[in-house]
Amino acid sequence: MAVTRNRLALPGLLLFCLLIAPVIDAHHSVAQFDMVHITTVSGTVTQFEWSNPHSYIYLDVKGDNGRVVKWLTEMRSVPNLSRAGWNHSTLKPGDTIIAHGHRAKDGRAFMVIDRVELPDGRVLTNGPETLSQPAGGR
Amino acid sequence: MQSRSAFWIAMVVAVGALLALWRVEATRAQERADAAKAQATASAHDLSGVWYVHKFQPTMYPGGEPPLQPWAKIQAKANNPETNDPHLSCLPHGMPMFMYSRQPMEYFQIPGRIVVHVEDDPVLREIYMDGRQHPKDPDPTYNGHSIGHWEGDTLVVDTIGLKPNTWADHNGLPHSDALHVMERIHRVNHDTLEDDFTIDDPKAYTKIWTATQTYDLKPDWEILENVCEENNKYRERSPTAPAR
Repeated sequence: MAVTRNRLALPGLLLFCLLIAPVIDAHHSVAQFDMVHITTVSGTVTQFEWSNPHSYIYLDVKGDNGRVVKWLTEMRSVPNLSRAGWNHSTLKPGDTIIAHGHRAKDGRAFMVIDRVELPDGRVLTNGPETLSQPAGGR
Repeated sequence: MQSRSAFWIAMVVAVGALLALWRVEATRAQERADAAKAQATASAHDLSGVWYVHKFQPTMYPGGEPPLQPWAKIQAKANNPETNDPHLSCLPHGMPMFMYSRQPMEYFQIPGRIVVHVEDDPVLREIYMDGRQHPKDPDPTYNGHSIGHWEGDTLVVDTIGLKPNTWADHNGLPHSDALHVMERIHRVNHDTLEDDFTIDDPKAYTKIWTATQTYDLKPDWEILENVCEENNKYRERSPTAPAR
């Protein structure tokens, strides 16, 4: 994200993030993410950790400059993912996916998944969605 | 003369038969009513099934500044879900957090006890329904000592004996070892459960306060295995994580 020439902008921004982080949402796993905007990356799965308390997809994403950026994407627990159609065989290394998620506020190649477009065309969400409980977080 | 007495005998028998039939029908009607009432009571007393919070509430204090004691106010400010939530190291949530979980929970009713299993906690909640009282000086535990009884269609649960090193909500409201949680659990309708909490902790709060959590029945869900310690990448953030 763009940083202005004002020297106070970056520390001010960081302070702001620290202050609002506990208020927006109290799970550890969403307070660190920008839950407002969606980031989309397309890449190759290098690892699929089907585990608790979170499952993870490691993605090699080719950037504009041709260099590969290694992304870590986080999802909810195995039971929650099971209820959204996932299982331990849903992904394997080598699969190409499009991942939509909420990126870490500090700009790292790290995000919590909103939904994933699988090689077979299915779109699976990060846990069961209900009207009052958007998918995401623990 | 004989035909007249025969007539009256027949009349008496007929009336007697009618009365008997009426009695039988009245008894049957009463039995049906009793059975229906018993069924209704049984249904209202049936909490079994998988329940899921209707709306996740990161903070349970219903609006405004919680009435915290001065030390607790400082503690609440220092509590940060990102860095020092004791559950980050997979320790149990404790009460009342157990009941605010964003994971589904299942109620099991067995003789003398109601047991609650929430998907993301390694400890079961045991509510003793056998009439026992709290021990005078209970060993503090994560879920505390819970006793319950029915008041009509409401399950009234009383919990004391809680370890202080858990939070009272996801946002980091603190509590002390003096925390006394009272719950009124009521099956509003077949698919809805309501738990009204009374939080009484004079060491941490200046007032008793109340909160409500509503749960939806999930007939096609089952509680699945969720071992938190398996791949916890947040472990190192927790101040309570044991050294490895």
